[in-house]
Amino acid sequence: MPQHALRSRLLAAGALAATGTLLLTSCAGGFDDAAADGEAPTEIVAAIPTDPTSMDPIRSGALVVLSVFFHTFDQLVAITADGELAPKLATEWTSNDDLTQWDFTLREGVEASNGEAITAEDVAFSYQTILDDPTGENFAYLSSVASVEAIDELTVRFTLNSPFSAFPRNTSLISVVPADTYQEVGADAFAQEPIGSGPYVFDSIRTGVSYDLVRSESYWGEAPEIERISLQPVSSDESRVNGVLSGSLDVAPIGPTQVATVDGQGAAQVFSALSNGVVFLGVNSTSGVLADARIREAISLAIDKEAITDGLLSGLAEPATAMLAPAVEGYSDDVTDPGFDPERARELLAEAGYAGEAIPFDYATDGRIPLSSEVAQTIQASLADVGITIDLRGADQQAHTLKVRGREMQGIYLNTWAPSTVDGDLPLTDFYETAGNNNYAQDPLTAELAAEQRGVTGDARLDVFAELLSYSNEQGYFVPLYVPMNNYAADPDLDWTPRADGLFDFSQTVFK
Amino acid sequence: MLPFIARRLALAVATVLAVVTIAFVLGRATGEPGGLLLPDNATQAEVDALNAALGFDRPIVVQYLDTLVGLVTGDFGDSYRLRESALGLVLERVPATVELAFWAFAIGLVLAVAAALAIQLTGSRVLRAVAGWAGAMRQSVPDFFFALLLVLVFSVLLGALPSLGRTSYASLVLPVLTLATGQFVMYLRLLDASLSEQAGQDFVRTAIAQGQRRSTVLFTRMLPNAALPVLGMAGLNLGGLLGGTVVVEVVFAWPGLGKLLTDAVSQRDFPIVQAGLVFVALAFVIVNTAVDVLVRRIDTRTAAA
Repeated sequence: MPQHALRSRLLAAGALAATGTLLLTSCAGGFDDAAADGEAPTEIVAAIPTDPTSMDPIRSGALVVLSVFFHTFDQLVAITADGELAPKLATEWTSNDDLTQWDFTLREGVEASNGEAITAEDVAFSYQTILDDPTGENFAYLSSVASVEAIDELTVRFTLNSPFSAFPRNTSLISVVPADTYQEVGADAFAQEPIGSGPYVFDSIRTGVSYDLVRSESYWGEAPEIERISLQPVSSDESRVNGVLSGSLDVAPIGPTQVATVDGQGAAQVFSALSNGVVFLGVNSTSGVLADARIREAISLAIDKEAITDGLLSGLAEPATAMLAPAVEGYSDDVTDPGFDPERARELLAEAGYAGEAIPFDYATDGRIPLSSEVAQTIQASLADVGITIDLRGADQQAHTLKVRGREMQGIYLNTWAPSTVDGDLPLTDFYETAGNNNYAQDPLTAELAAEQRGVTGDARLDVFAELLSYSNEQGYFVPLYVPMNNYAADPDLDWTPRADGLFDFSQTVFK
Repeated sequence: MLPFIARRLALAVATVLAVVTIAFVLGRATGEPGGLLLPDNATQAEVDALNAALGFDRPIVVQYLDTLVGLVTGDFGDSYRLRESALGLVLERVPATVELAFWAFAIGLVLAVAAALAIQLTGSRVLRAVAGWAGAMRQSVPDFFFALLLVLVFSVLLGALPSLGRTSYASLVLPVLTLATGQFVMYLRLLDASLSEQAGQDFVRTAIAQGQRRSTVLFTRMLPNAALPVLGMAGLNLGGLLGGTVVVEVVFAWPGLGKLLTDAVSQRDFPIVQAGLVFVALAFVIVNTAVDVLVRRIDTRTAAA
């Protein structure tokens, strides 16, 4: 074969291959365009930042999974987007005078999507099954419950071990399953094909890939506008942003550094709302120089919180003065922190005879706190400025969590607490009661106050919270740093209100 | 050939055993998973109870033996987080991984062979220079960055391809393109170097002097020689790709093995780690054994040895 013939043949082959590739690419352009016919879309594709656990709500209690369960199951009460308590499966609830017995009245005529009636028996069954397994993920939310019983078809009675004024809020995390169905198929099979009474039913579950929901035809309440919801775990921040910008996703949580980028594009809108969490420094107040209250106060005085919130986090956070976020029940404006005063910090250090002993500072390099490494470095710089030596110890989020759980910290550490009940009880129990994971001080007064708030309601309860939080600041047991915002990129037409807890509930959402 | 295969089988068993043992020791050294499974307000007593329920209160030797028994019977237990069969979860991810690995591997290799042959047949310096430059540029960009560039151009800017997920053939294009270009560069380098080296050797010059067509010499004499190092590398590469391609899986939210395994490691979800590693180790050993067998058939020198 002459040389030029072969060459042209090769050229032809190359051209063919190139055309094939182009064809494939252009065909592909046809996907995902189903909603381009001018009508408002009726499907939401939302990214969740981590893989949910099992779809059996009795066994599964990880926070992210509530973004699924809020749609597919009923809980006794709901926490609204702004953190208020609202009726859901229960229409009203009352307690006895000492707050140890709670009666919930259920909505009439509620049915699961398979037709099974949801009555007090089903509620009692769901709670009892959780109580029967102390190793379950939901048990910790119900550790106050001594017994649960169905009084009549529409009344459930909880008897508690001790008074607990915020008990109804904890029930917002517990989903009710149809007892007969659950027992008939067994927990494992139920997790594969879960049945609930929420506004949506499961269409398909692909573990770790997508959780597809479709509007329920038998929902007791007003039918939501959105017909289909697909919740998809996407772990990378960058991919979530690109997913929204390219239209693969309708809404996705994004990091603080990405907000400006998305805002400038015009292809998506940004939602930012203060979260229910506080990022704080935990302090092992029993260890080394930190046992001296003056040094703990000096640490608090030396940290420029606004440098973190306005500089590093571009204003997408607010400086925190207390160990509760403003959105959370129990927060009080009256609680103040020592403020930012490096000069006073230096005086206190001199007074305490601090001689440059290195203080270990543990933080997670990734995970729950966006930009945690940068936050840690900023704090180190602030502390170095007044003469405190810091030994930075970064670890991955899971290793850090295990250290927190084991109460293994030797100095200060970066941590965050965001109560899913949007009530101060959960975090304050963890900060100040004897068994609390973050309680290094083991101060009997904080333990007493943390227990006391459960026995009182209303303003009296808020007063106890304020006393406890002020005392904690005075003693320097923790340094509240800031309340971060939850940030989302979303389809420009999405009409949606983000929740303070960062979870998804699209039952009120529409496309404009 | 039979004793050879028997030897390889024994080696495979030893490899898997070593992998499982190392994973077991490292896993247990990083702590127990209970504290990662329960909500923040769970007490240490509840965490301890969960760890005990998961069997972490037993002597370490018993736990290890239990793992080995699981390995032999193929029962790795349930994932701690998902409460489903760990092996089932791993196998569920295999198709996505195989799909990505196969296409990236096949397209990279075929295009590399085509390009190398084109360079030889045309003798074009321009073509070689272009391929070399493009290759060097691709290799100097990390996968995650190249993947993001592709997403920015084809998904965000042009809106032509989905930026994430595994929902249609279209969602295959960008992840495959990311991996295949990386593969392409490697094989092209190897092939081009080998073919160019042979082009100056006596047996090639003699064959051409005898009047054989250049293309015939290329296909019948040079290519089989050049294929040997490529095969060796292809074995390692394909094994690696089957083990999951974490970076690409994360960028494209591709539901492959790599992401499942790395998540399981950080979550201390040991049953998934064990099941996944056994699968990856087996895939690696099998692919490489197949390559070795192939090489022995092609290369008369090793066949005789």
